[in-house]
Amino acid sequence: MLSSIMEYLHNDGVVKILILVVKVVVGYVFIQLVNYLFKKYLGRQMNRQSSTVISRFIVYGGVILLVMMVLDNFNVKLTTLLGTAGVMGLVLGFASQTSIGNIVSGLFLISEKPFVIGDMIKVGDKSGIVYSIDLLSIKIKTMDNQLIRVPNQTIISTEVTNITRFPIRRMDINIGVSYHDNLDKVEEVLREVARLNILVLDEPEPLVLFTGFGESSVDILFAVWFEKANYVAVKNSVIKSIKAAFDREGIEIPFPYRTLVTGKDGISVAGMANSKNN
Amino acid sequence: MINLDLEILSTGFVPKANNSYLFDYLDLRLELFVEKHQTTIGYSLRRSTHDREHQLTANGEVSNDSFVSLQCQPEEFRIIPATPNRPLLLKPIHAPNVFNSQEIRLWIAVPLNLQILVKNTLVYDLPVRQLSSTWYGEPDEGDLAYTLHCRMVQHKNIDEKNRGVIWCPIVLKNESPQIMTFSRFLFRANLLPLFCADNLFISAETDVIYKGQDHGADVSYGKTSPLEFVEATFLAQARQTEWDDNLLRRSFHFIKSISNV
Repeated sequence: MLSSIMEYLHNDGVVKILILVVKVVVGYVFIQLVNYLFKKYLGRQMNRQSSTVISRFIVYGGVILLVMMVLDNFNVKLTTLLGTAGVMGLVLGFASQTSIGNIVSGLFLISEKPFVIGDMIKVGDKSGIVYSIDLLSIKIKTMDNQLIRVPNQTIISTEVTNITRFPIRRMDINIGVSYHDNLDKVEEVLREVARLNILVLDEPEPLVLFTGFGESSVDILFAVWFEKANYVAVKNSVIKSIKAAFDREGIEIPFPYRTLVTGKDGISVAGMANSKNN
Repeated sequence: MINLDLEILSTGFVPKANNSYLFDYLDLRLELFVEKHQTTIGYSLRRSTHDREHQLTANGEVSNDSFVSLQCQPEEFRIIPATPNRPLLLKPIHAPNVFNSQEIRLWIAVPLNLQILVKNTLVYDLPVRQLSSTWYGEPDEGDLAYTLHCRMVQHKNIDEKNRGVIWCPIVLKNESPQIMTFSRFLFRANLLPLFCADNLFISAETDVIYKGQDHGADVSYGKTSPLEFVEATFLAQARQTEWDDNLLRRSFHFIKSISNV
C-alpha cells in the first residue's frame, strides 16, 4: 500500500494532491450536509435516540466511503485491503466481544424502547435521567449531577424501572398512628388532606389502607396520585399537611423513645428531670 | 392604584403609562406598574378552601406569587380572557337526566383564566379560581384535567353578578333507549372561542348526542356565538383550533375509581 502511495506521489505530484484535498474537503462537507438535512427534515419525526443512531451511521459510513475513495486515488487495491480487513475483523471480533455485545444490545434497546432520552430510570441502585443512548452505553445523569455510564449489555440483562414513563404516578406514604386514635377520624383527616391539595389528583382516588398492627402503631398506607412533574411539590406539601392536620386534630404519630438509666441506684434521667421540676 | 374589573378587561384593556392597576378577584391578585418603557407584573394565587358542595367559600393563604419586569410600551401589553388551560371534568351537583329522544339545553359556569401578553407573547396564564387537578382515563393513557363541580342551569337562571366565569351552553340530546344521566363528562372548554354580551363572558355552544353506554357520544364544539347572543362581541379564539376526532370520543368514561393497591 505504501509503495502505491509513493508511486502515486512520484508520478503525479502536487496538483493531484491538491485535487485530492479538495475532494476530501468537499466530501466531508457533503457528509455533514446530508447529516444536517437528515436531522432537520427526517430526524425530527423520529425519537431522539433513533435519530442520533442514524445520524452517526451517516457520518461514520460517509467517512469510511471517503477513506476508501482516498485509498482508491492512491491506487491501493481495495479487494486486498478488504481481505486483510476481514482477517483483522475476525481478530478484532474476538478481542472486542464485549463491545460487539454492547452494540447488539444497543440495537435491541433502540428497537424495544423501554425508555427514551429524558426519562427517569432506575438501574440497580442507581437512578437518574437518561442523558444519552449510544451504541455502546447509555448515560444517566443523577439528581446530584453525576454522569453514570451503563453498558448496554448491563441494561439488557438487568431490571430497569422507568419511573416517568406514564404521565401520572402514585406516591405511597407509610404512616403510623397511636392505638388510642379513632381510625375513622384518621381516614377522614387523610382524605381531607388529599382533597385540599390542588396538586393531588382527584382521580384516581387517593387510597387509605390500614395495613396492619405494628409494634407501637396502627400502620396505614396513604397513597395519592399526582402529575409526574410535581413530585417534589406534592411530597413536601402532603407530608407537611398530614403533620399539620394530625397536630390540629390531636392524632398522635407514635415514635420509639428510650429511657436512659444511669448510676448505681438506677435513677433514670427522666426521673431526675421530673424531680428537678418538682 | 386603579382597580381593574372584568368589565374593563372585556372591552379591551390598554394600560396608560405612569399608572398602577390592581385586579383582585377570588384566588387571583394581579398588580401592574406601568411606566413609559417598562411594565412590572406581579401576581399571587391564593389557595382556596371549599365547602362540602365544593363551592368556594373563603380565600386562604397565598400559595404562589411572582414578579416580573418587562421592557415594553404600554400599548404592547394586553390582558385577554381565556378558558382554563386544560379540559374540565364536569361533575354536576344535580346531574340532569335526559329521557330518550329528548333534548335539553343547559348552561354551566366555567372559571375564567386571564392571559397576559406582551408583544403578542404569552407571559402568564392565570386562573381566577384555582381548580384541583384530576386524571381522565386509565393510569397509562388519558388526559390531565381540572375537576369542576358545577350547577347546570337554564338560560333565565344565569347569574349576572357572577363575573369571574364563562357561561357555556351545552345541548344534551339522548338518542339511546336508556335514560341519560349527565353525571360525569370531560368538557373540552379549550376548544371553544369566547364572546362578550350583556356584560357576560360566553362561549360557543357544545352539542352532546348520547348514543348509549356501549356507543358513547358524539360531541361537537361550536365556533360561533350562541343563538340568543347573535350580536355578541368576539373576544378570543379557542386555545386549540384544530383537533382529531378521536380526542372527542374520549368524553364519557364510566370507570370512576381506578386506583389499585
